[in-house]
Amino acid sequence: MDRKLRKTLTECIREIETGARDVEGCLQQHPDRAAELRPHLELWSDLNAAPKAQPNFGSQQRGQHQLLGALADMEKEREGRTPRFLTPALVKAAAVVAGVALLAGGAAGASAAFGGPDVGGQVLSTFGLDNAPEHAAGEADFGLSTAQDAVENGGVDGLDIALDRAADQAQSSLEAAGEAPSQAQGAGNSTPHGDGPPEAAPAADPEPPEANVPDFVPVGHTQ
Amino acid sequence: MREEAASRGSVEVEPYEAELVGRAKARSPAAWTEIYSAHYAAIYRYAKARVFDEATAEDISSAVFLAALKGIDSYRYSGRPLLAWLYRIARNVVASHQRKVLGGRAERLREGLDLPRRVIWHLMRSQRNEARAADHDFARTASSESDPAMMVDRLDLRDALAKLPANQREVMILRFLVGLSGQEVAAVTGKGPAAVYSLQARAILALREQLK
Repeated sequence: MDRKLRKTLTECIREIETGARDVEGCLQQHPDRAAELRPHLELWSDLNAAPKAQPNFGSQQRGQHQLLGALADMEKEREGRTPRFLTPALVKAAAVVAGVALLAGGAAGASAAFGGPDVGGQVLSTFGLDNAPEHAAGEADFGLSTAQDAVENGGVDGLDIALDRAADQAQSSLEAAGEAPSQAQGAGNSTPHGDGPPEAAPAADPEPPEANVPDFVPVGHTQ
Repeated sequence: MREEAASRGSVEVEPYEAELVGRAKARSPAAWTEIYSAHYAAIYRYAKARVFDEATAEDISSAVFLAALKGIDSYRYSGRPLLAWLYRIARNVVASHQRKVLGGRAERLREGLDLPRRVIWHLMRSQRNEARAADHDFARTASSESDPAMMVDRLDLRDALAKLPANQREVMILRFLVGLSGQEVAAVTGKGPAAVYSLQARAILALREQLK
């Protein structure tokens, strides 16, 4: 291939593309090679003027719908996934809060139903919630539901609320317990409604239960 | 729309495209509609120039934008035109399509051979440059054109283009069949403008020889 011709042609193409000259101007610039250059520059001009393929409008629209459909699918998929910030530690914390709330609420409810010792109050006492067992049970239910929402919906707001509520409740219960420790102690040994027979004090029991004693000892059985 | 963006000048196009890419990364349907509308024609023309079939070119064009949607998170806008990224995807999609087509043809051919010939076939095939073979052979398998008036001219040009080296052919397709300017071809391919003019000149000289 003629290197000089190629170089001249490159220069002409650059000048035509940048608008510095047109084809005729370029040929006049290189009169000694004009005869060689002309067919090449004419081919370049023909190619440049050739009509460009036009896409079918219907196909283009279909492709656009397909793209937007895929975009919508990706968004749905992304919304359905568990968020990255809901780490196993957070899920565990939510489960613990929910568990404590459930235990306290359930114990208080069972104790009230059977009229027996206030097991719920004892459990609540353990967590400093014995000042107002019913209120605590309500708070615990709220904590449970918000914690469940947090886990199900993947939002941290519900979890934050549950944790804040639990912390606030614990704080207020501790404060109340500090003000009236005897009341707190008494609350553990009374029925919630106060209309049942008083329980015998544990100290009055002549024979404290032994370890490993079967639940049902036949009458007259001696060990 | 691309023309509109280009007319604003490179100073304004870069922030415009950077912002558009940002919205596309945020999965904005409006941004994707804008990208699609702006670049579909260019991608379609490129695909058609490579596969010479309207329906296949349409499928490839759709596949390019779907691939772009899937890959947008890993795309980093560096100031080069967005079309450069789409063009790279289009090249890969076309190459993948051609490998599939050629693979099917090759498999049918291989199944028709007895064992010694299959061994020879494998030896010969392993020595062949796959990419070059794909580029050169595929044009001959292309289906018919929709415009009979242009068919004869295009068939010659198609055959001639297929015989060009890949870098010259890519520049010629982008410059004359897609309709980009020399500057735009340079930006899209990542070559300097001087290299693009030189490749055009080489290709014109080669085409002129073939089309004589």
